[in-house]
Amino acid sequence: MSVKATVLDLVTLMACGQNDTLMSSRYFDEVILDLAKAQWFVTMTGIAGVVGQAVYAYPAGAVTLIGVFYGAHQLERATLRELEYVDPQWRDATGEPVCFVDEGETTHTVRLYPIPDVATQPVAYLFGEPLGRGYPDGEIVMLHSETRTTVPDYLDLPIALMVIEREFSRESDHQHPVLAKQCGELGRLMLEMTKPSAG
Amino acid sequence: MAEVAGSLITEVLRRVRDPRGEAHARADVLLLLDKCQRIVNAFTDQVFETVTMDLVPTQQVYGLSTIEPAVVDIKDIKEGGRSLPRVPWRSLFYTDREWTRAVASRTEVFAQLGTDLLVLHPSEPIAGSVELTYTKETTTLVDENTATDVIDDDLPAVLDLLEAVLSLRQREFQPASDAMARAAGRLMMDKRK
Repeated sequence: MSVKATVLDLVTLMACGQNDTLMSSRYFDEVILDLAKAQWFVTMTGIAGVVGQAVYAYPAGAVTLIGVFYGAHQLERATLRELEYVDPQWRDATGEPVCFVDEGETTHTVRLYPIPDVATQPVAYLFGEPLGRGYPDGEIVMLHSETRTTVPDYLDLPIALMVIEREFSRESDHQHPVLAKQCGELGRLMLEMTKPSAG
Repeated sequence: MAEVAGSLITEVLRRVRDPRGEAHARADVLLLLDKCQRIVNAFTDQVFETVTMDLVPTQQVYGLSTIEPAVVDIKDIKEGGRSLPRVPWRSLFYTDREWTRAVASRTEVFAQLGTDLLVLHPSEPIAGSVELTYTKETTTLVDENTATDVIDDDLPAVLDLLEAVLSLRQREFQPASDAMARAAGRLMMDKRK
């Protein structure tokens, strides 16, 4: 795995030292955010369910929510219109959550329907975590993409090239649109080559 | 036959018209060669490894980095000599909303989420193992005498990719563009797995 500093050293090497190190650091974070949005870095995080609480925030560092699980069930993503058809008083219903909605909610939060009426049981982890039989009832698990400060070694160079794309696109004493464009193209070509097989 | 890194560095420096390594230090080219061979192998899957992965009772989701840090992509998973089909992980939900708790006498399918998570579905009630075959990260090129891991057929693409990188570094854009196109053509990117 490579840390951010290693990738930034590669940026400096490729840019022949012309890059602004502070801006390169920021652009690294932007590239990692873009990769997270494209679901390159995925993890699962458990959140304790609270009786009577319907709204839960994404875990820290989460970018895109891919799935939500409650106990043994994977919850479906619903729309406000669908829930209104099911039950006009859906916001007050309690029970075991069957779906979640993020439409109309504050950024990076989800609302479970119905509102959980069971608190998370004590964590046992006798078998199989996450989500195995030892996983407690009432636990909410979010499957999400996230940003990272360490990346696989094979992503060093494509990320460095995409940082250079941003660095040499902006107005500066070393602005170079052609270099930026070609570095971006090469970086994206390399990302396409290293993308995991479609699941 | 594996080529040593030094001969490849000499070749690519000749291509970018820097045979003495004055614009591009050989140590820097070695580093970039290492990166390029990893990228090409990630696409062609020619350098791979098989390991035995222990299964935890009733667990379906595994972190790939804890199994083997060098995994780039899963090629195959075998249980008892039987290859498991790869499925989109979302299909598990359409089959069974309680798929995370499914337990059976044998694992049927697998799914990969991003670069990190592996799902083996359904889980098994007792400890077991599977054979995991994966595309691995190629061995780091520590010096010019280190031989590359990639097969000979992939070396032209590695050199083209490296030539593109060095051409960009020296701000020669048409040669960089030509080298990129050659690399993509050699790898037949339109016939991606």
